[in-house]
Order: sequence, then C-alpha cells, then structure tokens
Amino acid sequence: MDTKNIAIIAIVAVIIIVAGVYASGVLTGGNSASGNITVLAGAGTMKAMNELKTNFEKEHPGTTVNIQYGNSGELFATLSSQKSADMVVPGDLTFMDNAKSKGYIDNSTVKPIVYHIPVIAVQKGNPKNITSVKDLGKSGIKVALGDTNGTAVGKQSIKILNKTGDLVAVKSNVVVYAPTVNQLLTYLTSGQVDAAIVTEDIANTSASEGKIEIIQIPENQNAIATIGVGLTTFTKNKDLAMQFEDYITSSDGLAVWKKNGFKPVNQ
Amino acid sequence: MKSKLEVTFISISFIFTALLFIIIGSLFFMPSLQGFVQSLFSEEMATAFKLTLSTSVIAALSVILIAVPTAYSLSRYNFPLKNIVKSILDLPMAFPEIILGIALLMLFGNNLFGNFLQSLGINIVFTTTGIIIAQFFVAFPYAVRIIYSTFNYINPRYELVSRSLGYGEFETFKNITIPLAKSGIFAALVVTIARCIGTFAAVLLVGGGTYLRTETLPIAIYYNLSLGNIDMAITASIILILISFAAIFVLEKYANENTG
Repeated sequence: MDTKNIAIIAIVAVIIIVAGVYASGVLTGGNSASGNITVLAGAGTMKAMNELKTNFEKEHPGTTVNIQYGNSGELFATLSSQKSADMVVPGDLTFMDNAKSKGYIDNSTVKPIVYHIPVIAVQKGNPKNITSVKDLGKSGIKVALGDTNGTAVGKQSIKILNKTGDLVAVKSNVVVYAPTVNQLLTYLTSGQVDAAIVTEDIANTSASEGKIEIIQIPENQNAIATIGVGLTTFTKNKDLAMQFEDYITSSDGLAVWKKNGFKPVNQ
Repeated sequence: MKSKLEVTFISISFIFTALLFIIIGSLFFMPSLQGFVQSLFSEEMATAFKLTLSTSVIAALSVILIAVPTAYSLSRYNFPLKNIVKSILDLPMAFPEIILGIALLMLFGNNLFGNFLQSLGINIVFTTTGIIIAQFFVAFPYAVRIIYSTFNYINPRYELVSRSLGYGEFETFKNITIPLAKSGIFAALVVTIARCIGTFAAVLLVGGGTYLRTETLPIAIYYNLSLGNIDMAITASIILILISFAAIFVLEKYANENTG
C-alpha cells in the first residue's frame, strides 16, 4: 500500500520533470544550429534593430539573430553575468570603454553607426513659446527629464544644462525625472508638462503624427551620444556576427537607421 | 487507504507548492549579506518603504470607507442601472492597471477638469496624492467584491428584527450589519492594503516614478533592475514579500480566532 503510493508520487514527479525539461528545450529552440547569434542592444534602438534583423534573416536564410534589449545598466549586467552574447549595440559608445576594460569587447570590431541627438519636445502648437534651452528655466514652465542615473537622455540633459549654465533654473522647473524615456512623451501628449528633453529618433515618431513639436538644440550646447557596435570576446560565431555588423553599418543598413529618425555618423 | 486519484492530486499540489516555495526562497539567497544590509539601510530604501506604507494605508482606509456603502447598496437595494454599476466596478480587475494609469493621466491632463483642479492649486500628477488616487482605483473593485459577498451572506432578517424593535436604519446598520460583517471587512482591508502596496504600473505613470520622490517599493525594484543594482532590487523584493506575508498571516490568524 505504502509502496504503491510512493510509486504514484514518483511517477507524477517524473512526468512533471520530463515535461519541464521538454518544454525548456522547445522554448530555447532546442537546436544550436551554426546560424545563431545573440545581440545585446540599447532599448532606444529597438525599432531600427528589429527591422535590420528581419532584413538580414531574409537575405541569409537559415540564420537567426536574437536580440535582447535593455538600457546600459541591464546590458552590462547581462554581459558580465552570462558572458555569452556575440555582439553589443549600446545607445552610447562610452559603454564600450567600460566593457573593454573588463575584456569583454574585441577592440578591432568597434564601429560608430549613428548619433543619438537630444532635442526639446514641446506640446503641439508650442503654446508656451519655448525656443531654446534657456526658455526651460522660465517661471511657470513644467519640464520633464529622463532619470539622471537610469536613462542615457537624462545624463545628456544634465550635460546640456551644465553647458548652457541653466541647470539651477531648469531644475527648479522639473516636475518629474521618469525612469523610462517613453513616459516623457506620454506626459507631453497628455498635457502634464510643457517640455521634455528626449532623443530625436523618439520624438520623430510622435512629431510625424502631429502630436508634438521638436525644437533643435544647437550643436555647441548639445551633448550628442553615438550609437555603436562591437563584437564580444566570447563570440562563438564570429563570421556571422561580423556579417551582421557589416550589414548594419552598410549603406543599406544606414538607410534603415535614417528611416527610424537617426543621423548616420559618416554623412 | 488513499485512492490513486487522491495520492496523485495531493502529490501534484505538494510538488508545485514546493516549487513555488523554492522560487520565492531562492530570492533570499541571491544577495550577499553585505549587499543586503547596505541596501536595507540605504536612503532610497527607507524613503521608498515609508512612502509605500503611508500611501497604501491612506488609500486602503479610503477604499474601505467608500466600499462599505457601495457594497451594501449593491447587496440590499434595487436602483436603476444597478447591473451597469456592477459591471463598471468589475472592469478594472479585468484589464491591466497601466490602462487605469493612462486613463487617470488623461483625466487630470490638459482638459477642462484638469485645468479646473490646477486653477484651484490642486496638483495630482507627479505627487503623493496621485499615488494614493492610483492605488485607490486599482484596489477599490477588489474591496467591493469581498464586502459585497459578505453582506450577501448576512441574513436580512436580523436587520428586520432590529428595525421591528424600534431601531432606526443607521443604528441597525451600525449595531447589527457591521459587526456581522466585521471579518469580511477586515479581510477586504488586508487584501486592499496588499493590492495598494503592490500597485506598480498605475503608480509609475501617475506619480512619475521620480527617484527618492515618488518612488514606491515596486518602482524601486524596477528602477534598480534597470540600473543593474541587483542587490537593491532583491532587497526591495524581500521587503515586499515580508509585508505581504505579514498581511496574510494577520488575516489567517484573525479569521481563525473569529471562527473558533
């Protein structure tokens, strides 16, 4: 009687374990064919990178490009804990310096691709008549910025305000430091704030729909980041990773970046 | 002699409960002790903890205060549009809370109502008030649900007897209905507090999630994960688990004392 019960319990446990192992095998694709690479990319590159991935896979049947998105902190954590990705496409090239010093990046493969340009986004029709960074410090203006630790654009905003000397005035107008950049546009379009500093590529999507307006920041006041690419030192499929890097930096690839609101470095 | 079915079912429930326990328990072994202690006594954690607890308690008490009359009228009275009211109250439970967050933003945004509140000097978005309002609407339907079924279980005859003995409507409600519904209301309070503490997306959108200002514990987890501060994120998770555990423990203990 007891042995019978134990036998039933054991069978149930075995079924569950087998099912679990089987499911995990199915979920990871099961086969590690030679045509797989994993890319760690900045969250801000998502639209462009997804399009580039689709095009590349179409042109090279049988290859798969897996992309994991995150901000710099997340990408770095993944890189240092898993040591398994083939390529990184961070939202700012300074990321590479940190990763290089740890020996994660193959220095000879690092290339700049496009610029991440901060702009001032304002409500449709620009009701508060904001024309420059200085205007963000005027009384009665509500400003939204990205979090100054967690988002690249938040860090860039502080650099810009330091350059123009408006840091103190603008800081007193900031009503929110949002942990995600997309929140900034939500607050702008719903009328919670009068202005936000966001990157041009993100602003373009909303501007093209006529929801917001973009005010450029002059180059001498601006803090422009560069999106780049590099192969990791632990890549297992260097040939394919190199092919993908060549494609996203080629003129065809750059056309996709441009379409998504980015400005190529070499043009 | 246990039947095959019984043994199978019990072993399934045991194995999966054990799995869940291992999953939750593994969190406790992730951070280094030093990292855990450092995170626990950091300014960010203290601020997030205080903010979470104070907003949740205020929101939960307000929820109960409004949910009791709402649930009572749904349970005892007939009024026009009653079914529509019931469906509307159930809605927020069915859709993701981020939708509620967006809806609240639109309501308090650049429109008649939003501008009217602004002209009175009432700011809701990006403030603690906004956090409380977001928590309130996320938790409110759950509280109404629980208290409504509690009132349904109470036989109206007790109330009728009290009325026939000459007590007024309000006295009857206060001296008969509420004491009979006490454990249900208490259960609703615990669930409501837990819901308020755990509210994430709506609070992130309406409060803004500004570091050290409108950063509640769930936002602290999300924020620190995105920065790669794993110790900080896990410490915040552990605090949330302990709070939930305490809430459930109090609830169980209280329920047991009441039933015998």
